[in-house]
Amino acid sequence: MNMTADKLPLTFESIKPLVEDAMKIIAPVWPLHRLVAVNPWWNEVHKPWHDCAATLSTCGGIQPMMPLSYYKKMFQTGQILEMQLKNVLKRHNWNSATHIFLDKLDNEAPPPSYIKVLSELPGNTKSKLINHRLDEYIQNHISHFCAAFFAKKEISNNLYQHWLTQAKSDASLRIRFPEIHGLLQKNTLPENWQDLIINALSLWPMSKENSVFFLQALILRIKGWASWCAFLQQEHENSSHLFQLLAIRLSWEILVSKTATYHAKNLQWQQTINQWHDWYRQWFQHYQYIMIWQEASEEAFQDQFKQGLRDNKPCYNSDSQQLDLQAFFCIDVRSEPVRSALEQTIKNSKTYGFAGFFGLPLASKANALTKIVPQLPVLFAPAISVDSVENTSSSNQAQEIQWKAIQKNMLASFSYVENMGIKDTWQLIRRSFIHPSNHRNQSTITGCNYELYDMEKQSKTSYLSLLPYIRNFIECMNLQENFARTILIVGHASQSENNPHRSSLDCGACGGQSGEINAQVLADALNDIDIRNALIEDQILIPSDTVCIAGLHNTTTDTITLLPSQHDTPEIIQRFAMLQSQLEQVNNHVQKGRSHEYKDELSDNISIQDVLSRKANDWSETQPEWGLAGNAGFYIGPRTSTRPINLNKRFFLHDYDWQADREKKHLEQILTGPLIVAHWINFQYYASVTDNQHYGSGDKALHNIIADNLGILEGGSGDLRIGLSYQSLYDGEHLMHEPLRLSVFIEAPQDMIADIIEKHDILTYLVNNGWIHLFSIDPKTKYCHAYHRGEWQLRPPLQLYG
Amino acid sequence: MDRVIEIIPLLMPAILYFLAGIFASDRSKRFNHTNVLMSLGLITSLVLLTLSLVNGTGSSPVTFSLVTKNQLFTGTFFNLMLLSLVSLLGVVVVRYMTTYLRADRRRSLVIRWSCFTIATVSGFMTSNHLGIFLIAWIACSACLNKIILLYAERPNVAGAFRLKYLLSRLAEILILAASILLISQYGSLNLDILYQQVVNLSLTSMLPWVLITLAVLLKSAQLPVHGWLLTMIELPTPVSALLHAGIINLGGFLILRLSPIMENIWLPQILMISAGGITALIASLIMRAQTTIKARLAWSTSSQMGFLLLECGLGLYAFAVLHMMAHSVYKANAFLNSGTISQPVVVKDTKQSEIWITTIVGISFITLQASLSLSYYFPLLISALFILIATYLYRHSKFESKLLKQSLVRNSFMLILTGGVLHYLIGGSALLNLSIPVTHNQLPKLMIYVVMFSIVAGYLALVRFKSRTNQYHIYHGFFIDKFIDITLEKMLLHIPGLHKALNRKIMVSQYRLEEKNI
Repeated sequence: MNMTADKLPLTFESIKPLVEDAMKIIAPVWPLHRLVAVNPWWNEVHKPWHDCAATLSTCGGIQPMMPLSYYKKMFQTGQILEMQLKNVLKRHNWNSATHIFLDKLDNEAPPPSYIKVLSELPGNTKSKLINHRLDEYIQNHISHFCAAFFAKKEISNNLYQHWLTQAKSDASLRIRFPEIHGLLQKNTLPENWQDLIINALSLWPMSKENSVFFLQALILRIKGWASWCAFLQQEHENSSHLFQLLAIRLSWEILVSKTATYHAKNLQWQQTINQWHDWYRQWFQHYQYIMIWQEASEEAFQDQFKQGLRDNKPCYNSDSQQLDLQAFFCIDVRSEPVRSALEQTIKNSKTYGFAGFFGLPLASKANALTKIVPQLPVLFAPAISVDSVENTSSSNQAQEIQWKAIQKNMLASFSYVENMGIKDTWQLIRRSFIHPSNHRNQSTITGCNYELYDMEKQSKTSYLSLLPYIRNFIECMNLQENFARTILIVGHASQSENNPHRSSLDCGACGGQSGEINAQVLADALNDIDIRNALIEDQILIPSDTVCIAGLHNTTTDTITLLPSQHDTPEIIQRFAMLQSQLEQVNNHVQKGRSHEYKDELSDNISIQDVLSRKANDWSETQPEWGLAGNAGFYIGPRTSTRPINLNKRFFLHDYDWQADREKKHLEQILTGPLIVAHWINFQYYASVTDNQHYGSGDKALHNIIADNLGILEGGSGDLRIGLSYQSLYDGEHLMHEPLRLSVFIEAPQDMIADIIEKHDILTYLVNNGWIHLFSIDPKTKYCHAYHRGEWQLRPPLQLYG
Repeated sequence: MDRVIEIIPLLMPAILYFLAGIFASDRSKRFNHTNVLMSLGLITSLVLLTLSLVNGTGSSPVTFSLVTKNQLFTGTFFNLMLLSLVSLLGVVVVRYMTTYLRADRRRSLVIRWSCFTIATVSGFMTSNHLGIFLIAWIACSACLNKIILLYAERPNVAGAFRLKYLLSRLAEILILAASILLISQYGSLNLDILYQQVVNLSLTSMLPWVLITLAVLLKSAQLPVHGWLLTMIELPTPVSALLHAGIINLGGFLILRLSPIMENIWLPQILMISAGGITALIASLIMRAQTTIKARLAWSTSSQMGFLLLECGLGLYAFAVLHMMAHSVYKANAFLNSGTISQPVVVKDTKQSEIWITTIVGISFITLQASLSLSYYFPLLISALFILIATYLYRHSKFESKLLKQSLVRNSFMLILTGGVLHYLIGGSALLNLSIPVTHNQLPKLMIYVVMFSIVAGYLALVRFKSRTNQYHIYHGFFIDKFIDITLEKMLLHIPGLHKALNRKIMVSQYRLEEKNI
């Protein structure tokens, strides 16, 4: 029964919206050298979070929330209080239901059924060998095909056609599943992917809702590669890889349904289609308890912060005299301990939080032979590239490229191994015995030798092209008149050896890159005389004795090192030396604060410095640092309010002064830029924790990199893995990240916030659909109000002590 | 009694590694005892190596009882050199595992069985008796199987285990049969006795040696029975490193130990030349098409082992020793470092580089190696020829990037220079009486040229073939391993007892894992 498209009433255009709608369940994944943390359900934020979660569970058996046993433990250890649960229930008008929720903790009901596709039903294969599971075979088959297809230098747009030709001549398919191979040979499948999708949808007629479920269920079975296709779609507008991948997965279903063994099963399976909607509804019945407990755990987190705000009086610096030091950090949660250490150690200083790319639209080029890498959030496009002008790095790169070419050549590889292989003895000894104990810092660009290059005009340019961005930075931080004598701009980067997910530990705001370049360029620009003169015209006067220095915060070892400046006046050199000695104290302070994390490894002759520097340099280390684990809050407002509180690396901190922002321009920038980035990071962690099997990348010890940093497989088979590894989330016994949705606190008047949220659809979705919690903090009274669907509700902190 | 005392120092490293395995437990978080014992093993083997060098025991009579030959074990420079290499790899790998597998609940078991594996390999390296070789080999593959079973919960590991189990047993049966034949023929399995007795073989008396060669081909992952090696990438990185750098060498090592006999028998030589040569070329063609780093490394091991056996078949034993050692450290380093990612680079001049690399590095190496083994003057002639070709290529190739061109020339110059020095050194070391197998050949000289030039011709043919065939088939290694895999599975179905026993092993292990998880 050969079906052709022209016999059918359907055209692809008519079903395209449906397919596009279904494919929204997939979000892009970035290549390994610039891993961007992303909410894996970003394209679904226009829906309520619970609807999205229900879809995920119903279609793919995914766990979008922790099991009840997790909350039981939290409740028993007092991390969630009964009052908090009651408060949440009160808001949902379930005042008297507390005992039901407490009872539920002890008898967890089995989760509702989820959609199984036809190929997942156990077939009656005659042999009982274990690796004969059809669905696993299909996943591996597609995954290997994709790995071979996408790792090529030039990717054609004919994914489906390629697959069809390959599958027809696939010998392993012929011996494993001769019947399926026979069907392929008989040209059962149409030549183009549009027809195939139409065929599939008419083969199993179902309602619109069910077809979306069906397509989502299928694409979730190969979601790693689907995410890669979504990335390609984002990079190239006319890419249809995602739809073609769906077509490939559908082809398997069609082929399987036509085999004799699955014939009866097919009929049986079609019976289940009617139940899908019920399963979807049942999800809510099952998960309503978990949803409330989830909210209670978030409430518990928010209560802690609100109490902190109430109990601690803001501390103000005496504004009369000029400050000695102003330090600007990335909003990253890891900068908070460093900031408090710096504030405590260096008197008369102030720290600020700003998105790590400091608002500069930069890209970087490490040397003549590397590609340009964007240095800003993926939401924006770079305009100026920072090119390193170091020759030794280019020639080292060239040698590396050529050594690789020699190793890869069919004949020369023997010669290479026999003649040069023995030199790796030294590498083995160095990496196992010398490196880990050697205190060593790495740097991404070499010193201050760089040039600015305008990417649009294809010509060299000066700092002046950055002027509007710098002006914006100064205004947003409200610096116009109060510049300190020394300004420290700190970017951050992590340091680890042999770690495919290295860039996920770097600056999230810089799109998975080190923030070093952005800090360096901003500091140099602020020292530049032309820039200073130009700023005077905007009534921004930087005092002549103010000096700008760039620094790099190594988040693995928690040390700040200063970067050499392009301008070497005696003034700068002197301040540089002074600041360096002060920072040493800060570094020691911060490192000591981390001792409790590594109690096991400390001993009399191993100090915390040794442990941290080993982690940064050891090639066998799978847990160099905890990255952004623990993130749960975002505070937008002046630092004075949060300064006395210990935030435990759980907050993104962005400085903001509503009084200096009458036009609401800066708040709008923060809410549409850094907030989205923070939400992405937050949900990446969330998804990786609740379902590591599907949205995390599994065991790091098995990771296997695909060519050109495309991604990783776990071992030699299975789907492309996305998200964070098991090792980044567990320390072996405990979970290091508590899955909480981001709670955003903004210290500004309510009207201002509401105006901006209503102006931007995306913000309205995020807040109203329950992807983030949003609170306003009254600048005077510090009272918290929660925003929900245009309404503000007072949320006082829990009265604990009477 | 005396003999026992003599053996102890030689077996000291193996004993220490065994103890290290016993001490591996989760009670000590940093596995201090294990790591110290491993390091002691390395130091012991280095001391033994130094002693043998000072003592100069090659084939010289016994003078110093610490490092000596006796019936079951032997401590010549060659053995101890490889023992030290294995010890170094062992120390590095176990150290690496201690940190790397920290989050894995199986860590102490993986480390324990790895230590045991290293102990068996060390025993193998000092053995002087075919029986000991056989026992060590069986023990080694049993230990490795234990590690594989620890990961039985992963979908593809169960299949990998079955495949590995069947092929290992097959290889062991082959050696066992060979040993029985040899005992009945010569009355002993001691290598020294065999060296003296085995001369002028008839076709039928070659049989045991052919069986041994076949076992070695199986164990060295030669086509078409290479599939088991590829499935091992389902295991953690350091286990792969141990396998690809240590265990896989056992076959080649045995051939080198048997070289005084093997060089006189043409049938095993032909076997090694043909299987090794074909694997070397085809596996490296497939290696190029792989897209994941570990699969690339696994195919590369298969092809490098092919080249090693080719060298053994041609009687270029000294070079084979060099190749084996260099490949071990190269592959260990490559696996352990396989998590490193590099910044994406601009692709330029790949075609020009390819032509240069093939002619200057690839072909010159193959021809030089052939000529080096034959005479002292011929290499000079060949070198001169390649210098001419190099000058021509340098002048006339059109590189876009000057930097890439310079680096390429510099790299190939370095490569060939080190290569020349190393080869002369290892060739010359035979004169120092270190009992490194000497390059020695009974084959007609023409044969070496024929083989080497057919490798080059084979390469050129494959390059043309590559452009015309389906890349997907190359990527999948022409599905050879899949065919073998399925054939073995089908065979297994006819032996229900074994099939059941294997499945039970897998089930029990999966069950234990689940239990431990709770």
